[in-house]
Amino acid sequence: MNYAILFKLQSAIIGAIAVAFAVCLGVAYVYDNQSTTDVAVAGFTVSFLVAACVAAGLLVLGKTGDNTLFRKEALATIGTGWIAASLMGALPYLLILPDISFPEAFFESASGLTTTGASVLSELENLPRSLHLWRAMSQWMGGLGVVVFFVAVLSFLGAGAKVLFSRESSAQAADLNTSRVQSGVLKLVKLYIGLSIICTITYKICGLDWFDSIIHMFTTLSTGGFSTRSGSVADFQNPLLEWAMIGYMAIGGTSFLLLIDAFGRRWKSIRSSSELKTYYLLLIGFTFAITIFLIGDPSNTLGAGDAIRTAAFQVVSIMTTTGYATADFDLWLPVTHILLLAAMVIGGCSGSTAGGTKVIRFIVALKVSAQQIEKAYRSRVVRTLKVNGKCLSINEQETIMVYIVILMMVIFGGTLLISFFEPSMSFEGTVSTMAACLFNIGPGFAEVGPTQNFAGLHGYTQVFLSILMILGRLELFALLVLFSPALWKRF
Amino acid sequence: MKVVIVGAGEVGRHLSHVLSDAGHDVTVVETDPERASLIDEEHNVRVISGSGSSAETLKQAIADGCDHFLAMTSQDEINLISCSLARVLGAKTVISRIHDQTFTDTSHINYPLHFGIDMMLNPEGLCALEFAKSIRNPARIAVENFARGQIEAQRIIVDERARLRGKALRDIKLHPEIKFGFYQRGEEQDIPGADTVLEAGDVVTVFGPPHELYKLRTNLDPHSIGTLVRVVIFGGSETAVALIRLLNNPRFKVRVIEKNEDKCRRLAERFPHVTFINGDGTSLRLLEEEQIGNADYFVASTSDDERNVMTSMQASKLGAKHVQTVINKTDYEEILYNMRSALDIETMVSPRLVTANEVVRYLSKDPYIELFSFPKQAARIVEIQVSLDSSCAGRTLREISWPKHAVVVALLHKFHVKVPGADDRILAGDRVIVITREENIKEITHLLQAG
Repeated sequence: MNYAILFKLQSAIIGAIAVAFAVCLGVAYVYDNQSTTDVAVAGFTVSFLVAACVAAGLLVLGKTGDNTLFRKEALATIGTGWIAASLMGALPYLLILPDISFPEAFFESASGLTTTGASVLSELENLPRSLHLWRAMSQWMGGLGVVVFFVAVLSFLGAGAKVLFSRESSAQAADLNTSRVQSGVLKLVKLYIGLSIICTITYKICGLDWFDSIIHMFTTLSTGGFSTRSGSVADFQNPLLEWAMIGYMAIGGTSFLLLIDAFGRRWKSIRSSSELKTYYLLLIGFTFAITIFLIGDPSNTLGAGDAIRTAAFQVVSIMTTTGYATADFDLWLPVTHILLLAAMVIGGCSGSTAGGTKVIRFIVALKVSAQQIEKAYRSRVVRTLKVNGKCLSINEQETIMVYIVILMMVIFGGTLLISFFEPSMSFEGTVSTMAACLFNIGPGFAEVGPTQNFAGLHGYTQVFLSILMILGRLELFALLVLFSPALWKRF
Repeated sequence: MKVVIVGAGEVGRHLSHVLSDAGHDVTVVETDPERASLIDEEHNVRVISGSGSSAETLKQAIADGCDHFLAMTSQDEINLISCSLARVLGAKTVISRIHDQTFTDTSHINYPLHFGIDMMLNPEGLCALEFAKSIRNPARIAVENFARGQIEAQRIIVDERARLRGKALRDIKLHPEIKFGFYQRGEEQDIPGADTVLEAGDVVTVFGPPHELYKLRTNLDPHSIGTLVRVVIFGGSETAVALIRLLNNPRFKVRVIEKNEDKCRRLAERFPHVTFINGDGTSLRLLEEEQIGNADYFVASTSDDERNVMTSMQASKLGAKHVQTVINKTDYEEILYNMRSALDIETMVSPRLVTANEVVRYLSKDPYIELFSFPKQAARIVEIQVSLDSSCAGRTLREISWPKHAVVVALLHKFHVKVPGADDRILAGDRVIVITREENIKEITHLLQAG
């Protein structure tokens, strides 16, 4: 393990957080309410100083030593970097909010960076605006990936940049289709910023004020889900805004690499993308099914138009793992809960900011299963597996299947642990807590439903759930390898 | 005529033999000294030892003129380089053997034009074409391929329930590349005009690309369209690949048995609609397990003749309806051909032979080549080259005063084949395929070849 490069990259991650703190500090000075300015300014000043000092310290530690970045170091950087960033991001919450415990602050911070959107805070309207900004900005940074931002800038990373990128984002570096991974990532960053600007303007036109527009833009495109209101988007009572959000959430769950192709008018890759088609078909299918069950529900009070909008919003919000709510779906028929749980597990496209298992893995898993069933009676037949117009090698298929198996084991083990930690929680609550955190969604059902929050859980449960969020955001491996002793040894 | 052949492999050797026997001056270029001396002993040809891609060697071979340059090595790249060089060094017509289908794809770059090649030949492709001819069409209809399979002729009997029955040709929306060449109603036979009305029982001969003809036939004779055709190919050879391409239609269910797993995998990536079985096709158990008995066609296409023949016999014993096989080795050709009926093998094709035939036909000096004659009918299909001093050269089909009973069904301009319309121009050196009556052949030949 080359610790020098590890420290150097950690310093960059913490440095990025420090910059974000500085921005929030500026907002605290200018824009916060009279009553909260002082505490917010103090909180962010301290946070900024701590982050800057830690970053500088790490930079000094990593000054000597060479810059070669192997797979080992790249994985360790991502894993430890996200934990460190989550810890650092907890500082403002601890310093500014009067009665918050450390596990709660850590949970809130991890939930932000991993774009989960689960919260332990209530009475959001009373928070200082600068803290709102930090909550939302952490999601925006975490959506594309903290490391991705500087992969584009640091040229000394070399081939290691590929590992960094493909481990943090769910896309493969090869999909970028550029000769240098840096230029591909730069395109991604530009696209992300461009979309952010368009999205902000759209929200403003839909009737939000500038501050709310920016906050919601940050949390929509990153499929994060934090809102400035306790009642989430439902509080705005604005159908136009809801439709706009449905659109932008769906975009957030679409592969950004395909969006780049779309802007470059390279339609071929879009037409051949089976993942994209399946993703949108699933969105439409789930919406349709839930609309039917909403209208068929005897206790329903919604008209057909409202029902479609509400169903579409919830489905898109859940499947892209955003986690906004315009309705308390906990009160809906149980069948809709199962449908939403299915959407949670499937998630968005690879290469998007969404979480979940990813649509493409489901397609591959289904196809592999079908082939294995045929193999049972016809062992000699040779078939290839095509997704997105490309053939997958046996090795790639294996990687995906193994991922799904590990994921299942994590879900199984995690659910078991949560039930030990929270013995009195309902079955639905336990299962959905697991899914909501691991797949970076936010709200679940029952005790953690859209009108509830995670504040009622024990401290250790909150820490465990925070780890689960990071585990899910990094698609397991980058965090799991940290527990493998050989990674840390010199030989 | 002076002919230079590069490569004295199976194809090159056979060609040099045929051409020198026909009285041409043949020069053979071959790298391998052993092969060179072998061909020197066997045939009355000049042999130059050297590489076909070396300008020095080619210059020596072409020095005293070259009417036809044939690149016949088994390596595409060498063929392309030597053709390109030969063109620069002054060869008049250049023909190349090509395996890789990439080079026939002209959508990005026109390879034949780029390398100065007049005709590309693919032995395996030609071989596959022979197989595909009968697989694509039920036996009772006469079918012939022209222009290396790009144009097909079919006789179709207009059915009582045909959708196009009772319509004049003028009113039928035909694909632009389809032509009605000939029709027969009772005793009456003629070349149809725009006002001819189709009636049940008419026998029409149509020309066009195979896929379009198939669509037309569903409208004229829905009866003859067979249901699913099951084809089993033994061996994932080049011939098999070419055959799979030709059978690219959902009504063919193709299954390929190939021993090499890597090869299976590579082919499966290229042809996702085909089922590949990784196993030894000579094993009886495998053949039974894969239900060869229910197959309509069994095609043995490996490079091993013994296996081909044995497996073909096995397949026909198991109940495969039609059995076809490739013969690679010259020495087996005659005996196998004689024993065809005893072995229950329907079609035998040698890639070498079909290639040589194609080249010989191309080089022939005859005023016209009869491609096909309909049994008991006066109609003939002939291929005629437009001479350099022809008065027709440079004129459109509309401007030429054709005899009454003549339809130009195909126009071959260098490597490009099309079914021409009235406004297409004929250029000197082009070849036209004409369907006409026997008595008009002379007139047409005169028209196209006299000044």
